[in-house]
Amino acid sequence: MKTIKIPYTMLVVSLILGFLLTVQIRVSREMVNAPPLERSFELTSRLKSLTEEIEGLMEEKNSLKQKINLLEKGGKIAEEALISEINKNRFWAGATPAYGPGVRVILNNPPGFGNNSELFNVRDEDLFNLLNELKAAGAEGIAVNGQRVTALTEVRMAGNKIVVNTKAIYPPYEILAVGNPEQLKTSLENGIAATFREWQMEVTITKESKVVLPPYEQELEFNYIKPQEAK
Amino acid sequence: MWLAVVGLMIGIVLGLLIPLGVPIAYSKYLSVALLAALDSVFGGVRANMENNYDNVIFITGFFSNTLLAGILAWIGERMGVELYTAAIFVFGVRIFQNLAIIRRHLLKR
Repeated sequence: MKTIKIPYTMLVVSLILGFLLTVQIRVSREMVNAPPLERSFELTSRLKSLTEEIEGLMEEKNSLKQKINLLEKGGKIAEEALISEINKNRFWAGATPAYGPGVRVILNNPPGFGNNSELFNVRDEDLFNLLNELKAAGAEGIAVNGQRVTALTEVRMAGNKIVVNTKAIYPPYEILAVGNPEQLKTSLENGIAATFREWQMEVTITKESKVVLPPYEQELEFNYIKPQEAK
Repeated sequence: MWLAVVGLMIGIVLGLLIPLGVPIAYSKYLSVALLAALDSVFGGVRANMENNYDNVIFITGFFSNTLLAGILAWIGERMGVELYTAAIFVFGVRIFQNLAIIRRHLLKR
């Protein structure tokens, strides 16, 4: 045996060999316990495909969310449009409070004429004529003693009281009208007001920069009338 | 000869002490490389006994065989051909041959 001739490289090499040997043995012992390689490959590829699927679904979710947002926005806009339409119609029907420049007319019975004084009192036709004059002069909204005058408002005598919107009203009568104050006042002063004064009724007409009209409070009931489709 | 055994012992002890692991996916290549290294060491021992031991040949043989075996196994895996069986076969045969020659040298003494 010529062991002296063997240099230390042999030592180093066999050291590496021994090291690798033990590592390999330990790894293969672990391998017995570990799941087979094919299984891990399979699981890895499945994980990958599932991750991709998740990404795709996430994208879908986002696009659907955007759609929902868009639809919600659209629904809100439509709802707002409908509400504003309803409000406009309610306003036109006189079902909402309203205000604007106009005139305030105070109309009162003539001061007493003794026992027959009722003969000279303000009658329904007087009030009705006054409202008619106001409308002719361009009034856009009228109220009498807190009763809004609408297309269906009646003015008539019931006993010795005037009834407006089925409510009895008492003198002095306060008529509020929205419109051009100048025009309203002039047309009353030159017309019906002069007649009233001749009959000794008390009439005062004041221009107002803002009169507030109450809403029509009755239930609007339509049992017979039906809309006719435009042809 | 004894140096080889001593080195082997130290290497085993080191391997046990150092908890260095190889991923399971690579353990196949490591096993082939290990076989090549084993072959190289036996070859070195045998050459030493025949008095034609060359240090450079031994060292280069050890590393190139080890690396080549590992790379061969890896390429085989990629190609779908189990090339590492060729390495196992070749190195296995050579290890047995070297062992036989070593045994004869020892017996002759």
